[in-house]
Amino acid sequence: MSEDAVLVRRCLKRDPVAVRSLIERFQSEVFGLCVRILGNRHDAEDVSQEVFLRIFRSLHKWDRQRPLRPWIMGITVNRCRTWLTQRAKRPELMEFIQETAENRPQDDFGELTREIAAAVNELRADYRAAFVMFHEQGLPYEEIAEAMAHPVGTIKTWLHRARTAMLTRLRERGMVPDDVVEPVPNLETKPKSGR
Amino acid sequence: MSNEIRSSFCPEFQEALQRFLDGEAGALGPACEDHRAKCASCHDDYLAAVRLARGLQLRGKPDSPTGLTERLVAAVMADAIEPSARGATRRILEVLAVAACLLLVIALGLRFAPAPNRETPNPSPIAEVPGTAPMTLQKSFADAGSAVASLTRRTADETIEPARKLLTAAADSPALKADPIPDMMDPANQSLTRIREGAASGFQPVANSARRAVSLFLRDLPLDGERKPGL
Repeated sequence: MSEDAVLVRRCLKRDPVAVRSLIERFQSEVFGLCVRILGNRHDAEDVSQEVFLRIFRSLHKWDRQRPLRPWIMGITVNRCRTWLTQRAKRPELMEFIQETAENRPQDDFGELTREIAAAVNELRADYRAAFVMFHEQGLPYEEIAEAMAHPVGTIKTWLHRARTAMLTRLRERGMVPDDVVEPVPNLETKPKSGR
Repeated sequence: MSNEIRSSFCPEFQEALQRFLDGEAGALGPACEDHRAKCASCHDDYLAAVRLARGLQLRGKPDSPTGLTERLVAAVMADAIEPSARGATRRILEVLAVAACLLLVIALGLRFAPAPNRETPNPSPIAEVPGTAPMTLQKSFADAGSAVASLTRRTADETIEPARKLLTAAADSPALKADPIPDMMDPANQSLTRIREGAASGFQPVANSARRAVSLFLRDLPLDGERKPGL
């Protein structure tokens, strides 16, 4: 039996240690994805709580043959979608917090990260979720596809479009130098499967 | 840079750029480097991709708020206590839904069923099965009423049964036989009696209204020959 299955079995028996363990294991990813999709930390906190309540209510439905993480990320994406729909129906003054002052990088790349944050926020919600799961959370294409209930090809297309839109925006905003003035980043730490 | 170069290799370069952003080692091979040197647009895309990759590395993940874990654990553990209450509510809703569906089906059946032809002297070409009387409106309503009543009674019985057993057991208790409940129960008993009377008098107008509504409905039902067009 996999480690996930053991943990889930203990959670189903309402073992407080297991419940805490599962929450601690996925809380950062769930909250991070919520912040990126919703663009608001307060909303992200509320939705994170909804996500975990839903996870524990439907834990008995989880298929032991499948990995736990994409299942949880799928619930997160769905709750965020629902929240976005509800938020669109009740227009109100929202305070979108991309980066708090203390989290803002203080080096020369501060402006770049802010531009990237703004560009991510302008993406369509589906593209945004796929982009964040791939580039921030390191999920492989297969897991993103499972989480978002779409074929791998669709996820690749979304990611391609999201990147193209972001490259265009970076160029338009003058964030691209005339020539390479920095070392080419090594992106090989990203997930390997699904390529 | 020429348009010929753009049309022949640009799509391939863009694919390689996507693989580069995927993290594939050596995605931009010598052919791509050669193309980049000639195509300004692809060169710009390459620079933007390097910039994007660098920014993503610097960006990091959002920090979780302080105490979020504790709040989540508390919420989940509190939610675990409630399923029994949710289950009871769901059972009640299920019974109500079944009753509502039953009434709806009966009402629709009565509304669209052909009414018996009372005035036409010609008998129906379809012979009635001997021994089975045609179902009248009143009989249908009586059947519906009895069905709802039995459903409600069964639900009520299931609810009351534990209390009934408890009272029976208590009545058989030797302690109670030896020392019957003193008069101090009388005020409570009287209160309950008053509540029952109050409830009965309260429901009386509702029952009367419902009865009148059914009567009006029956009166307004079209007889043969009075059917509205299109119904």
